[in-house]
Amino acid sequence: MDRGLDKVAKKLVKIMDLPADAILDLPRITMVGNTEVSIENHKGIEKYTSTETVIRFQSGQMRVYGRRLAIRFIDRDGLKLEGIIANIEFAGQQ
Amino acid sequence: MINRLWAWITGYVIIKMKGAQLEALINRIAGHGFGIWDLERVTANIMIGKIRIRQFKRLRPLLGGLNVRVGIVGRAGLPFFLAKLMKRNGLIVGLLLVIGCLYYLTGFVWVIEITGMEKLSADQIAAVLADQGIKVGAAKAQIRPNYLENLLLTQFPELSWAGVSLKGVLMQVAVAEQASPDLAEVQYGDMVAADSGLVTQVVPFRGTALVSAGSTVKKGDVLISGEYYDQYGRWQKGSAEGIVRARVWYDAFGEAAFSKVTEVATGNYHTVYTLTLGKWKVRLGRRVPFTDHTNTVQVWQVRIGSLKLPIAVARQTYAEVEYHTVLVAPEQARALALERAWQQLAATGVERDQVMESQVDEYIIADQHGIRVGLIAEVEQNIARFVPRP
Repeated sequence: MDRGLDKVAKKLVKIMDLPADAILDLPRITMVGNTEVSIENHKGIEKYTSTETVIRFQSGQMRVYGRRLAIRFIDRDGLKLEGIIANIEFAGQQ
Repeated sequence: MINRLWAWITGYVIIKMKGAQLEALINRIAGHGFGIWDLERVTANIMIGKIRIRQFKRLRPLLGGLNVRVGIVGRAGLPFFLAKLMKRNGLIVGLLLVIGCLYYLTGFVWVIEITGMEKLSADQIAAVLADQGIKVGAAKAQIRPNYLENLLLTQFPELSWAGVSLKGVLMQVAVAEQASPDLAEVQYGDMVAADSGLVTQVVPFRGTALVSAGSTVKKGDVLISGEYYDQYGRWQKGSAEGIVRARVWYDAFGEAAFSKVTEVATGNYHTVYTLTLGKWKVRLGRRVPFTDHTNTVQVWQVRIGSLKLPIAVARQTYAEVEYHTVLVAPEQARALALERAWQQLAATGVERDQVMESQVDEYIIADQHGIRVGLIAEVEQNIARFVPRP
């Protein structure tokens, strides 16, 4: 998305209280305790090991650190990661 | 969960991916809309995951340009299970035989459950059923529930209801005995008209309706007969029940005079005292000088504490009155006569708010100087009353 257009879209989302994930193509992340994280609207995986998994988004990425990490399911729309999650980091512009 | 189940039904394979760019392959698979699940990194260059058969077959083009090899390490799901099963002919034949046997055996009654009896015994009912060939092991095809219900009701007059139903291999026979009174004590009779009138509605609860809306009936006519066919088509003699509403006309009359006599006090009084000593009475005073008078008496009883002594003094006061005849306005007399007619109607049990329509006729009674009012009131009411037959 063009930077100018992106700014307009962000303002529009704020003013009109629109769903940001649908308009700005942002990921929707759901966590269940520290054992499960579900991500919608991802753009693939960058790295996948049992201790670290890097998931790409439209703008930036998310790093999940932990133990026994396993991708329970992945397709175009969503991803579900299970394991003992210790830490999550976000990088890139949001 | 549904996805996993569907994957099992359609079949899936467990694949091993080996190479350096495994994440890129996963992204390509996911990006093509293929789902991959239970993905595990076994070593730095090996991943194992599960994918549907149909999607696995379309995986080859996605490997282009990547240094990754994909192979099948396991197969699972219904298609593979069936394929394995189809090789074991003996098992299939056995399975079909068991299914066939089960299907054949469910065509018979294996349990008969009889419930609801109080005085009757289950054996009595079972005996009647056995006469018809209905016992454990009987074919379900020969059982006709409606016929058996009618049979039980005709065989056992004390039953008021019988129900036969089949649930799988279970045959349920439920009966209800007539609670009370006994058949012999049931009063046999009809609903009879308590008044003459024009019928507006007939609601028979039990019995045969002999009249319908619009019929004119006289007091004593039979409205609902106690003889009827019941739901099982049996001719019954019982106590008729029901409601028969009809328009009924009542008449009453009231009279009132055009004049009335009133009592007027003249203001003259005369007082007489009477002294009572035991049985003796002494009257003190003159005779009453008035022709017409009213009289009031006041008595003083001598007492000591709560003990009454036989000494008393009574004062009788006579007030002179004259009687005058006063004329009553015709409207007032008419209203009084009508009110008396209504009162007469109320005495026969007809309340004023029940009356739908009323008709008033007036007659002047010349020789008695008064008025007579005739009132005809129309009431819609239930005229059916139970009358037992001998």
